[in-house]
Amino acid sequence: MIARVRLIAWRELRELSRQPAMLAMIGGLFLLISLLVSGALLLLQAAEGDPVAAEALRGWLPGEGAHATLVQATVTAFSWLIFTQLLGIVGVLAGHTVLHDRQTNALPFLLLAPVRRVELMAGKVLGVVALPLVLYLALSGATSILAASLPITAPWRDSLPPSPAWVVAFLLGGPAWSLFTAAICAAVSGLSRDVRTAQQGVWFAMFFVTFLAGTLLSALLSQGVGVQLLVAALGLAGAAAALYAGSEAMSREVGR
Amino acid sequence: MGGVARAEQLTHRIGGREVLSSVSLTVRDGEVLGLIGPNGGGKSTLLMLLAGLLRPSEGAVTVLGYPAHQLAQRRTGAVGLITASPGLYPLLTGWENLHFFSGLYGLSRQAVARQAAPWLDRTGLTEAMDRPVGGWSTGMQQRLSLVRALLLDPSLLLLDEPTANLDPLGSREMHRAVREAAGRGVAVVLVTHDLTGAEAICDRVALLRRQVLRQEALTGERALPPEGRLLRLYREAL
Repeated sequence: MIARVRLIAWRELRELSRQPAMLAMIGGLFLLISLLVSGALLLLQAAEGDPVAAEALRGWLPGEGAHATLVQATVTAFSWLIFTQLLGIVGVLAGHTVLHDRQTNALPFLLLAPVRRVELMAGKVLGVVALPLVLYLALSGATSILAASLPITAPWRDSLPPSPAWVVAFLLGGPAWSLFTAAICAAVSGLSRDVRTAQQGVWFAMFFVTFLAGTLLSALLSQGVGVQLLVAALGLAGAAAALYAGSEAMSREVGR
Repeated sequence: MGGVARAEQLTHRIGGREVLSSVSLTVRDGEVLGLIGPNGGGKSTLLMLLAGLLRPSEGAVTVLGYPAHQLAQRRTGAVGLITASPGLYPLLTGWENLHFFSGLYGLSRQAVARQAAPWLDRTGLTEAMDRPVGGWSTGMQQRLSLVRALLLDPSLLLLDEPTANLDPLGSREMHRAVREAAGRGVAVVLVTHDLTGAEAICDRVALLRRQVLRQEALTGERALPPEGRLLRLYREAL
């Protein structure tokens, strides 16, 4: 079973790696957010010790605590974005996966092989999750570590590493919810006959999933490790349920 | 010759519409059975039922004694399939496609390379195998689809208009490969609109029209039928 799932995942990943435009957009999005957040926080750090910059900031955002408000907004937005962008990218990739098999007419050949539908779905889900997850771990992880190393973010350490809640959310919650998103969108893809239908279904599903998961993962960071473990478990349970439902929905009836 | 595939009183409905009605047929080992008929007659549906990719609304399909829809799990690789659209991944190379699909049946890369080599040599694909198949001609893709099907040494070979996109030489090569497979005892079902091709390679021909299997025309014990006989039958049936 594992060999077949791995083979299907490898095939997904291999095809994805041969689409330069797709790779550029995925990598570019992760890079852009990392650069924007890093740049903003480094500027705010520099501004803290600079009286001229501090004065300019007060002119721009009147009142006390403008600097702290900006730092908080940046950290909060970043901790929400690192999860939602992962889920968004995974959803878009998964939303085309089974449909691609249908469009290339590879689906009958897959269904003819001794592969259970749940194996097929699991392989596809792992295949589409792999690359975004690597970028998420590398770029979002590095940016988070950089953010946590800056003195100005000290009051918001709950939302940054090495806070145990953040570590659980980042290493377990994010991947778990990305599996859930991928499974949901792959199921939508399996039920779709054409790209337009798949896009509509995927966007509908992703709107709710990314907002729900992004909020659960980022807004509850201050609630501690236990809550984040529960959030991750919920994501994993959802992924398993979505995988099962998706494999059931992907009927053997290719002529359906 | 024994019956490799058997369909009994098959009726199939899609969305309440009957696409096959009480069809029965047997395909024996070493036999090439042609399925001809006008578009929408149910030929491809019958093929998908024989492949176990569809479950009949009524009736039964057995292949090698097993219900067709269970065959993928119970007799791995017993059914080979070739369709008009080759069903390959365009961004993968020929070898990657072959390794992927054969790997699903548990064939190792070494076994695939060893078993495929003579077929690839014969079909002239060896040189192209390291290039993505999306850049290949349709004929080359179809030949790789043929290699993929034969690599598993199937007992039943199902072909759905395999020569639809091929040039005359490609069609002839496909026909030759089909006859050779039948010569090794493989039961073959060929859905085609190419009546000349069907006359040349089929042992029997079944005509499906308006969801009903109208006639079975024996084309002789491998003796070629009189030229155009199938066309006459086709016209009479319509």
